[in-house]
Amino acid sequence: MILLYPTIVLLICMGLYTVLTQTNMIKIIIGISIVESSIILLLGAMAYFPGAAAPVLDHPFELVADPLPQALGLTAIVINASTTAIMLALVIKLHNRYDTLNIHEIKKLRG
Amino acid sequence: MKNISFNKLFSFSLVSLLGVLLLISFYDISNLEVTLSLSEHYINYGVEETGAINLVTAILFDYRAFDTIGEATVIFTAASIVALILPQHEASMLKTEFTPIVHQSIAFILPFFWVISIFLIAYGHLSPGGGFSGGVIISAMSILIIFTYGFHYMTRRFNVTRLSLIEDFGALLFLSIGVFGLIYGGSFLANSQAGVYLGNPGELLSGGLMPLSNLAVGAKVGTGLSIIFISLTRED
Amino acid sequence: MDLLIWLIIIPLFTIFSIGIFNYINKKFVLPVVFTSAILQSGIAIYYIINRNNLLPQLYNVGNWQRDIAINLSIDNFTLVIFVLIAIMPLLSLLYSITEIQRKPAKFYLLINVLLLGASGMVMTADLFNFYVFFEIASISSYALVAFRDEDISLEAAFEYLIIGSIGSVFLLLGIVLTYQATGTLNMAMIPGRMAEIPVITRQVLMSLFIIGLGVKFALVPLHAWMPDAYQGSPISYIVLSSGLVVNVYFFVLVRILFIFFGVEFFQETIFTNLIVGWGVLSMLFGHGAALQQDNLKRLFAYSTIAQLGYVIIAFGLGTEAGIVAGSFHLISHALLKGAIFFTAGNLHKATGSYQIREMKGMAEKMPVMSIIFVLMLIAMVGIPPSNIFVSKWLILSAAVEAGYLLPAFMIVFGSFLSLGYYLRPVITIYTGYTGFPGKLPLLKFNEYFPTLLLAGICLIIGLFPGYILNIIDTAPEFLLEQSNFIIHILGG
Repeated sequence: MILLYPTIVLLICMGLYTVLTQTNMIKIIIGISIVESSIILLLGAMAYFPGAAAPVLDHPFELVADPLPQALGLTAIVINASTTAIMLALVIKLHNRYDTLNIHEIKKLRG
Repeated sequence: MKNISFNKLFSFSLVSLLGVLLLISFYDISNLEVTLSLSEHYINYGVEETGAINLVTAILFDYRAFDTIGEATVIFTAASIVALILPQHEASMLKTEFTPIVHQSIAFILPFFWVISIFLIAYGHLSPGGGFSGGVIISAMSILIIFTYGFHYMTRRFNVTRLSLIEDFGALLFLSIGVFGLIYGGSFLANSQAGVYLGNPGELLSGGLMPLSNLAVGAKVGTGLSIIFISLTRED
Repeated sequence: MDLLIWLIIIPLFTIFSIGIFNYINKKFVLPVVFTSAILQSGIAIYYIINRNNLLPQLYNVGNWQRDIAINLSIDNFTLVIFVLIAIMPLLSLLYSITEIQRKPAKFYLLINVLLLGASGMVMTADLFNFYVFFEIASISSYALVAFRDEDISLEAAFEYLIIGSIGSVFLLLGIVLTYQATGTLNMAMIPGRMAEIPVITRQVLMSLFIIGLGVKFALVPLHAWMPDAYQGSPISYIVLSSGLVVNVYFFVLVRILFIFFGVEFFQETIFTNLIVGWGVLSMLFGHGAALQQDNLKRLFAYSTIAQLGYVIIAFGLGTEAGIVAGSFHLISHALLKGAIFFTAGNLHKATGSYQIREMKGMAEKMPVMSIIFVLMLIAMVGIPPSNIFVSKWLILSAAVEAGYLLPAFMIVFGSFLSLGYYLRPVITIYTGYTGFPGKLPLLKFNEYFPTLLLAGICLIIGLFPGYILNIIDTAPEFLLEQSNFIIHILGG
C-alpha cells in the first residue's frame, strides 16, 4: 500500500512525458492511455480498504469496499475508450493522407 | 540536436514538478479524516432502497443513472464519429488466413460468449457485471468473427447501418425508461423512488426497472463498440 | 414548472432518434432538428422572462434526497449562459443549412450533442456529472473540427484531441482528488469540507481545475489548438464554439473557483493579482498574435482569446461590479463575434478564401455585407454606441474601483492595439478594385438573416444595455456568497 501512490504519480508522469517528447502519433496515444489508466487505478485504489468485501451484498458484511469510485471508474473507462477510438480513427485517416505517423511531417497549418 | 535535448529537459522538469506537487497532495489527502458520506449512504441503505444487491449497478442505474445516460451518449457519439471519419474503404487491415482448427474452435466457443454476455446483462443487479460488461463481450464476439472469418462474413450479416439502428433503439429504450420515471415518478430517471415494484433483493426480477436499463445499455454498448471496431478495420 | 430537465431530454431524444429518421426519410431530419432547437431556445427564454418568480430552481434527478442525488440547478448566474443558449444554436443551425452539404444528419447529431453538453455543464451541481457532460461536449467538438474532411481540419482535430485529452485527464484527476479529500461529489457540500484541506493541496486542486478547463477556453499558454481548429472547421461550428461553448467552460471554471475555494481564499493569497495579471497577459498576447495573422478565421480566433482576457480580468477582481461587467462582456462578445464570423462566412462566398489579401475590392462585389462587416469590426474595438463599448466601460470602472489602475490602463491600450488588426481587412476590402467581376454571388435568406439579427441585437444592447443588465445584475449573489448557493442546493 505504501508504494501505491508513488506508483500512480510515476505512471502519470511517464505518460505525460511520453506525450510531450514523442513524435509518433501512436506513441502519443499510448502516453495518454497510460495517464488515463493510472487515474482509473487511483479510483480502484481509493475504493479498497484492507479486508473489505466486494460491494455485492448477498449476505451481511463487516466491511464493504467503497462502491462509488468503482462506478465512477466504469464511467471513466467508457469515456476514455471512446476518446481513444476517435484518436485512432483520426490517425488512420491522417496516415492514409500523408503516409506517415510522424507529427512533424504533417504540419500544413502555420503558427 | 541541441534543440531536441532542450525540449526533453524542459519536459522532464515540467513533469517532475507536477509529480512532486501530486505526491504532496496525495500525502496530504491520505492523511485527512474524511467522512465518505455518499458511500456510507449507498452501503447502508442501497439494497433496501433500490432492491439491487450489486451496489455498483445500484449506483449506475439508480442513484447516478443520469451519469450513465451521459456515458451512453458519449459511446453513441463516439461510434457515429468513427463511422463518420472513416467511411467505406478508407481503413484497411491485413487479411489473415487461419487454419480450420481456429475456425472450428471459434465456432465452438461463440455460443458460450452469447451465454455469458446474456448472463452478465440479465444478472447485472445481482452479481458483478451489468450492461456495460455484457455489451463489451458482445462486441468482443464481433471482433473474433471479423478476425477469423473475415470482414465480409461479418458485414453481410450486420453492416454498420443495421447496427446503428439497433443502437438507436437501445438508446431510445433507455431514454424512455427515464421519461417513464418522469411521468410515473415525477423525476427524470426515477426508478425506485418512483414507486416501481422492487421485488425481493436477490431475485432475478428485482431492482425495479434496472434489468430493463441493463438490457438497453447492453444492446447499445455491444452495437456501439462493434460499429467502432468495424469502422476501424476494413479489408481491401 | 420544472422545464429545465427538458433541456436534457430534448437533445437526447434528437441525438438518439436522428439516425432512425434519417433511415426512414431524409426529409424528416431538418424539421426534427429545428423543432428541438426552437424548443430549447424557448425553454431558455421562458426562464429568462420568468426569472423573478422561478429562480433559483432545483431539480433532483431520480427523486433522491438532495444530498445524495445529482441535482440540476438554475440560479441567476446561470442566466448569463441561458441568454446565449436562447440565441446562438438556432441561428447557427439556420446558417448550416446551406453550409453543410455533406452528411447533414451527422452534423445535426453532433451539434445536438454539443448543446446537450453545454446545457448539462451549466446546470449540473454534481462534480462527476459535470465531467460526463464536459466529455460529451468535448467529444463532439473534436468531430466537428474534423467535419470538413480537409487536410487542415483533420490535423487540427488531432491536435485539439491530444491537447483536449490532456486537459480532461487533469480535470478528472482534480475531480477524483476532490472526492477523495471531501468524500462527496455534491458541489454544495464540497466548500465546507474544502476548508480542512491544507493550503498547498488546495492550490494543487485549483491548478488542476484551471488547467483542465483552461485548455478548453484557450487560456493563454494552452491556447494553441484554437486558431488551428477554427481555420479548418465550418462557420456554424465556430459560431457555436466561440459564441456558446467556450463561454460555458469559462462559466463553469468561475463557478468552481468561487464556490469551492471562495473569494476570501483568493484575497488572502496572491491569487487575485495573479489572475488579473494573467488576464492582462492573455489579452495582450491575443492582440499581439492577431496582428500577425493573414487568415480571417485565425485572426478572429486570436481576437476571441484576447476578449476572454478582458473577461478574466473582470472576474479576477472578485467584486460585484467586476462580475456583472465580466458577465456583460461575455454575452456581448459572444453575440458580436457570432455576427462577425457569419459575415466572414458570407464574404467567403465571393472570394472562396479566408486570406485577407485575396479580399481586395470586396466592397464592389458585396457592398452591403462589407459595410456591416466594417461596422462590426469598429464595434469590436469598443466605439460607442456598440455593446462592447458598454462592457469595456463597465470593466474599466470596476477595475478602477477595485484599485487596479495598471490593468485598467492596459484595457484601453489593448483596445488601441486591436484597432491595428481590425483596420487591415477594412482597408483591403475598400481598396484595389479589380473591376466588376460579372455575376454577383447571391446570399440566401438563411445566410444573411442570422448575420443581420445578431448585428441588430448587438446594436440594441449597445443602445439599451439595461435589457441585459436587468438579467444579470443579481448574478453575483450566487458567486460571492457561497452560503446562498449551498442553501439553494441543500435547503435551509
